[in-house]
Amino acid sequence: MLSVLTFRTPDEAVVKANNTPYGLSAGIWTEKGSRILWLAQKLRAGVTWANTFNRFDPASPFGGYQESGYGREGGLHGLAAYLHA
Amino acid sequence: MPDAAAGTRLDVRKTYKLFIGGAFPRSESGRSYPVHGKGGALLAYAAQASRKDARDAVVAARKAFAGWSGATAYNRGQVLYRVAEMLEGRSAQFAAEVAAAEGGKGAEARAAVAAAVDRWVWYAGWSDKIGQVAGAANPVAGPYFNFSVPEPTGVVAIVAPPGSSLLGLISVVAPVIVTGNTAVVIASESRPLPAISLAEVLVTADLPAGVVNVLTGRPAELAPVLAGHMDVNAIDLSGADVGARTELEQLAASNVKRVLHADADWAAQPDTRRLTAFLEIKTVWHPAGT
Repeated sequence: MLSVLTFRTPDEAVVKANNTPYGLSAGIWTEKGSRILWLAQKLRAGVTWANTFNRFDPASPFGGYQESGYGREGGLHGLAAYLHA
Repeated sequence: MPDAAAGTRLDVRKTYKLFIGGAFPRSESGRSYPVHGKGGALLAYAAQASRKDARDAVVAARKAFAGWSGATAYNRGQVLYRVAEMLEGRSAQFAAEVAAAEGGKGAEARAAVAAAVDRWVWYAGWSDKIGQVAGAANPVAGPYFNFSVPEPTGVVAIVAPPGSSLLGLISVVAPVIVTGNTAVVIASESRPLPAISLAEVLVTADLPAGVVNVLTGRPAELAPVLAGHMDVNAIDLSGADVGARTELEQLAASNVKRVLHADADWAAQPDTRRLTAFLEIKTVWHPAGT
């Protein structure tokens, strides 16, 4: 299921996006690089894709905030779960 | 004129209250309970927090989260270092309170207070360093700058160690808030008084209201409320009673709380584990191209 909502300002979009007990991933579409980083800072999600979606890489940690689960798979943070250090 | 030296002054006895949202309210239930020293003497009455007080504390912690987590790491470090300065200035008072609560020689209490201040400073220093240690730039196959940064988990409930009224408390509170989380801490049931004095220090050090909230009372009554609360993101069970751990972990699973298990040893020489236990890793795929 996909819910489609409108927004007038980036701040409003952030509030709407974060209004959930989950936080697995988020996507941002904008031409402005600084806005990507600003939004990525505000969104409470484990993975944020900018101008793309559903990209995965074994070197990139994947996993969610809040009720989207525990821990990360991939990357340094995925490997950490296998270490006693 | 009454003469203080002749012992004719009335005692100015302290009423210990809760610490919620930067204020010191009594329990909304009106309850209090006697706190006895190691020798059995009555030290004071402490507020006995109710389930409603616990929920109010979560609301205060949630309200404080945006501001505290949004402050710069440098700023959080400065505020926490000031807490250490205030603690140091009041070390004689804390040593007296710890000695009264835990017994033993005065030198032992002074050593415990010194260790507590040192531990607070140690954790305060991590504020602007944990990002470098826990973050990463990830070498993905594609035209992206891919990086991971640690962020605070949110509102963290803490069951403080029952035996150590100040060092144990500081060992569990400092690592939670230094990274930007806000905390609701249940103080030691039998030794709650130094926790309220710590709260007085936090206020004078300009820690924003609600970043730390202290409940005194019965952990058996309060911990299940926090463990099952849907607006609490994580729980530190370091001080939880052995018999209560399974129930608390089951309650914590209701909204996938991050759980620091009860066997995590707060007394050991600290490392980054208590910091990373309450951090989320956020990964960003930023396009790279012309």
